[in-house]
Amino acid sequence: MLNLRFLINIVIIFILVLIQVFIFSNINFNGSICPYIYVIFILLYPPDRNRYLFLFLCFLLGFGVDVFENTGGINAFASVTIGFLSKHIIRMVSGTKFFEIEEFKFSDFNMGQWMFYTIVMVLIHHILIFFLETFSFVNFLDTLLKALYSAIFTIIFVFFYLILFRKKAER
Amino acid sequence: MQFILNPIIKNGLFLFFVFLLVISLVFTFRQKVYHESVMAKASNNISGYFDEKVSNATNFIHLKDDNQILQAENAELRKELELLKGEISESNSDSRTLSNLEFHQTYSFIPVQVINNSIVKAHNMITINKGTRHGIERGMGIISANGVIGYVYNTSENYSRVMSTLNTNTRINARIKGNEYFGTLRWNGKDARFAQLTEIPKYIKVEKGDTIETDGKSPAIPGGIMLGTVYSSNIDETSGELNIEVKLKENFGRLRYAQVVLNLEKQEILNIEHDSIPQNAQP
Repeated sequence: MLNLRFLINIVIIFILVLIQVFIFSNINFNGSICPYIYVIFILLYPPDRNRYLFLFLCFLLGFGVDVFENTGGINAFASVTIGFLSKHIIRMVSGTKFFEIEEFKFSDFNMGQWMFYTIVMVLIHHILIFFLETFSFVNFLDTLLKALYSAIFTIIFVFFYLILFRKKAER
Repeated sequence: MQFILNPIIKNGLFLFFVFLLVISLVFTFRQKVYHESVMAKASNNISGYFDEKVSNATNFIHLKDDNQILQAENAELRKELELLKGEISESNSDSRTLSNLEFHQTYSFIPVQVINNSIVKAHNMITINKGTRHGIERGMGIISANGVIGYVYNTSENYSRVMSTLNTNTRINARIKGNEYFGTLRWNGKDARFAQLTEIPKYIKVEKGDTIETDGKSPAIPGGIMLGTVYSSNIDETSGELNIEVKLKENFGRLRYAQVVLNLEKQEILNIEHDSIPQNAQP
């Protein structure tokens, strides 16, 4: 059962990488927007599953994008980071007390909590990517603005997905 | 033993997280080594294959624009050809023999198609649809009708990765047309429409609209290719040099065709530059 689920996840990751690299990385709108929509996998991964496997899948997803974009390990770094932080962010956003993340279900989120959760996760991810990519604080404001614009685009995309498939995501 | 193992088991997830972070950081900082590895070659081939499929599908939409651009370039080249013809016939009328040295070919060009491009990042890369099979090697220059596109950075059998002009690591030898002072053109990572020309001394008079062209001092790119025009210039207080903002002629956002420069005398130049003088050389 785990094997089948694992295989399905690998296929989803492969498709997400292709969509990211060939559609969303080529938007180039105004020369400053590059949305990384593949975070949707990390956002919607059910928290009651094995966390080790989850981190490994985050790494695979990020590294897949890196291989296509020749960026070394930047996307892998950001993905693994928000994958690890997601537990703490869910705890912070939901406000409920639970000992282990496995007890939590996304159906406990209301719309406001979904929005807050998405915004925080996507912002952390994009800011990490853009600053690692530039690797300097020389153009601090410009890099931050680029990250913000891209994050806004990604957040809008994730919201569309949630509005359309929210029930499925909360399964 | 238990008191050593316990914290490791308890913080296993965190340790696994740190482990993955370190791996990704190693990949990030070892990029220079990475691109020579077998894996990079393979990934270049695979992503190139997908890029070409997507590019083939979208090319059709741009056919009309491409035709117009080609027409304009043809007209420009024809004009140049007529000018040169006139010059040659004039020199003939002086009964001057055409010397072989003056009119031999130094550069050859390989037409390529851009199949993947980005302008958003700080280190932008371009993928082109030709590789070692077509004679492309690492370090070659690549130009288009409107300026320099970049340098070939990594090749596989059928595809190559190009370090774009819009990459903060790219340096291009450039000069101001007219007074021939040369400097280095680089990109600061901010705006895809502008690049910066540095290392021009501050006593040089530069005006808005002056033409910036390639210098031709590197064997990878021929001289005299127009890169753009001066947009603004000011004196850098710390280095005492001019900071010139150059408006690039090429619009990198819609780049689709380019030419790789083959320097037929590159080997000769490299040989003579690398020849060390023997210690006991006799005149």
